[in-house]
Amino acid sequence: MKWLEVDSVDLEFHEKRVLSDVYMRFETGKVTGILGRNGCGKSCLMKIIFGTLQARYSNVRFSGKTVFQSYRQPEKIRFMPQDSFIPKFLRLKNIFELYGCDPEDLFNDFPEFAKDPDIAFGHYSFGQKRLLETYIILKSSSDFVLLDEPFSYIMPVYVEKLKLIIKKEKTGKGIVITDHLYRDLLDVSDELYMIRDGTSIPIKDPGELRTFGYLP
Amino acid sequence: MIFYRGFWIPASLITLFCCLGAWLVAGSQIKDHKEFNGIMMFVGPFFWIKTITNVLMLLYILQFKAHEMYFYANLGIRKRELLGIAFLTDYLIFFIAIYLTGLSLKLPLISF
Repeated sequence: MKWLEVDSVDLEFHEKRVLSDVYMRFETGKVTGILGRNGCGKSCLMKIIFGTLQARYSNVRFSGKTVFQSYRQPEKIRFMPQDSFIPKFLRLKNIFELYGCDPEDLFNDFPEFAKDPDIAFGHYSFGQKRLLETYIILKSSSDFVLLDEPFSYIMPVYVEKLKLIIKKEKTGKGIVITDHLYRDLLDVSDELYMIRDGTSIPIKDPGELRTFGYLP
Repeated sequence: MIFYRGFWIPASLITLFCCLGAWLVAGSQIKDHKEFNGIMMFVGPFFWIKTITNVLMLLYILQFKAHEMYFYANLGIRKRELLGIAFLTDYLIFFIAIYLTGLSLKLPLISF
């Protein structure tokens, strides 16, 4: 089993402290959900773990070994940000090749993409792009994947399919998800954290989300 | 190279414009003067046009294509490496094009 830890995160924006006391541990074979109100620092935390956002202080460790700029080791970690990140002119075949995935898997799971596999990525709808980006990151060979809002903008039928794929993929990797579609997140998560007032709170029972003011 | 594909059309058009400019300026002066130091003598203003437009393109990429950097970050590539290699390639193409422009006027790149 491999694990990924992040702690002592200290992040400020314009002298406003966003994250101050965070400790999270993610393991391969598990899906970890991160919940929190808008602007609480969930996406920033993912970027800090991935190494593309510099916090005032942070410590990221892979199986006990501290790493800087985690993204330099794509075999260890990959990240799907909130915004579409795949260049529009690329074709599915090229994208799958670069990320070491097999497009046949996609065509089996989502046959609609098999109809015209040669069109440029920019021609797909926003929801389809989102689904493809989530799928590629999930299927790429990496110990940990960070998914920022993977269920948003995707139609319910595909969300259910995506949840099955997440459950299948977690056998070989650690998956970290943040999303406001909390029912879907709770369905797939083995462990749960909440970020509140800049600190991380491990959630043992979903009822605590109400206590901490995330749910009405 | 994938990253460069994202802006090679405007970059190449600017390079072509600069080459055409250098060719016209050098071509008009070659009739009046016999002694030249090579095509580089006429490139100065066009080099600055190329540099300014490249800076503008860089600002555009950083402002509007910042999210695409995650595509390359997920492949383990640093933003600085990516931008550095792309713009070095563009300048290399620019100087090759200028060299070819000089050849068409039978001028060397530089002469001493």
